[in-house]
Amino acid sequence: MQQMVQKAERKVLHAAVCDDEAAACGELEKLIAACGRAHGIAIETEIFFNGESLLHSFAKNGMPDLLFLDIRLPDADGIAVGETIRQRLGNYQIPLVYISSMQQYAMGLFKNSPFDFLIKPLTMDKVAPVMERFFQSIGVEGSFSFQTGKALCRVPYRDILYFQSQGRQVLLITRQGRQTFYGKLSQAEEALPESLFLRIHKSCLVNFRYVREFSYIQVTMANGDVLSISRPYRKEVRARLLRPKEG
Amino acid sequence: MELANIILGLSSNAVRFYSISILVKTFFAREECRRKHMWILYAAGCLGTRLLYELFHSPPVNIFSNLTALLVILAPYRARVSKKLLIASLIYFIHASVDLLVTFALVKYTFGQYLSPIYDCMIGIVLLFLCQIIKRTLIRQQEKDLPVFYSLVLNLVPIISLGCLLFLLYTAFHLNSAVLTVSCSLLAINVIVIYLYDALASFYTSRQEKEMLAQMVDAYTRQLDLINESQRQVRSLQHDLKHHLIELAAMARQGQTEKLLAYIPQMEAFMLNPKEHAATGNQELDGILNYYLGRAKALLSQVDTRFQIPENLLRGDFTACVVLGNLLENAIRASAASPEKYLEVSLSFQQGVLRMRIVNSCTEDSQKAVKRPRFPESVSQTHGFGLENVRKAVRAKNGEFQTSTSENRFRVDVILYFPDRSS
Repeated sequence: MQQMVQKAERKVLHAAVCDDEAAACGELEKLIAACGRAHGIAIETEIFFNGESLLHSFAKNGMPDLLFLDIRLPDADGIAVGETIRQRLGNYQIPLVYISSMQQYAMGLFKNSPFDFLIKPLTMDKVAPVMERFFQSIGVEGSFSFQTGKALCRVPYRDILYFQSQGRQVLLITRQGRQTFYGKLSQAEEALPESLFLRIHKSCLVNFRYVREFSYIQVTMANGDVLSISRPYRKEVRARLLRPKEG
Repeated sequence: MELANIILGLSSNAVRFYSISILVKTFFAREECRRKHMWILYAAGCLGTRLLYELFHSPPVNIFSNLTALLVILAPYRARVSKKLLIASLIYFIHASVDLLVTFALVKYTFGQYLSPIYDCMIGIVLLFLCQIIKRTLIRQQEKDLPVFYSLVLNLVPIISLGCLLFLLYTAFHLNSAVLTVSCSLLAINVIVIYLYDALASFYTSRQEKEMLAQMVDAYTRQLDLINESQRQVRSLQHDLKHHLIELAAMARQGQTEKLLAYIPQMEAFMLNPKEHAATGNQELDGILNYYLGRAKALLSQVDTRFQIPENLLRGDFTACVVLGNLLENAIRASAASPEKYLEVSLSFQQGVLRMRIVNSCTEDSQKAVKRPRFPESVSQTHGFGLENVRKAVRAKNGEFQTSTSENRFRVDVILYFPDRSS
């Protein structure tokens, strides 16, 4: 079993801003570009004034690398748009940053696994840390390789939900379906980035980003699967949760 | 003397069966028991096993009678037979091990040798002590605990009792009424101490819960005052809004853009309540935050805050509020005593987990003081819970609590689970 980690080679990143206030959109676009320049990364920002045009563009042109979404939109609110992206389109990868003028957030926003929240008025000292975390998170992209028969298969980390050991085989659950290969879970764990994958059981390894909910004894994955956290791993899981928010 | 032996032997056996009851209640929940008056089975077991011992003085008979008594005691519990057999064997193993340890530690025992019933007393006390430790270890998170100092003081009682019994063993040549009285009294005292420990622990826990409730009532009261004040300001602004709009229109007509731009923040500042530092939509938490952040901003040089939690997250769960309040109290006190006077408070919610982080500047002395155990915790009781009790409150909710220090900074990280809220 081989694992090849490839750093994403990107020349230009794509961001999207969806806010019904044109002035706020313009201001945010400038701040994003400035952050990109400071890191030597070109970022193209597309602006949308309502949720419908945003989703229409996603359907036509694909998802951007980063999305800033106002909580209050004229047609569909930020919760509904986030739900569409996460649950209907099944995309848990795109970092979703909610923008609001208020400090209070409805529970529905958190169900969409937001990357961060920003409170208006937006300034560089608010936007810069978010962009910093975003740049760090895209550095951990890559794919997991395994052998099935004579073929070498490769699955991007962003598509992997979790691994489950079943005797001599390992079951790989992805967004598209499931695959199996012969091998040991411990070997897979060594090949995967520690910041993205978390061992919760001697026979289970999960992608942290696809965990919808943690409890003391189990995790609920984005596809609804509930997996137990075994007693020996609970301390480790708690330690992981105590770490600062990563990408 | 024969009667004295029997009385002492029976008393020791009663203590043994009392320790069995502690273990049975540790391994089985009360709801699993079908019988109400279990004491009848314990009494029957105590008398039956002692009677068989006095009649036969035979180790195989002892083993059989004790195991049978254990199975009879476990029979009313709703559990699989295999579990009952396992627990009965485990309990018997513990008793037999203590028996052997105490006997062989004190005597060159030979099979069938007669031993003074004082040894039975010592075994009874050791078993009581051991069963309490097992109980406190196995159901740690639900167990009400006393502060370390009080626990140590109470634990001296069995140790001193064993010392007294040892003294009796080596100095009393006959089992007279004095020896009998002292031995039975020591057994009774140790049983009473067990009850006393539990009662004290319950009392201490109730006191802590009362303190928690008092803090919550304070938080609600303060938040209500704040809300009322904010509403008064908004009503006042609404009342004056027409006047403000006229002013703004006049400035706009006259092209006084600078003046207009300066006027808007004044309106905003009037509308905002300067005492409102947090508005997460969780009333009890906002109460705590607004009170302590108000104090922090008055005492400290730099206060950074970041709150990203959903409204109505806590829904009457006070643990987070009490933990946060006490951590803030400690942090503000330590920071105010430091030259830098820095405080950072962060609350976030993700994937069903509430994360709290508090970082404060501190002096080297206060860093060391946190690590030093306190005997007793009377200081921390008057200033809130103290870090150790905060840690216990978090662990009782299966959360995690971590502290770290670096370069005159003290940091506390806490996680608490709220799994029902995010799905």
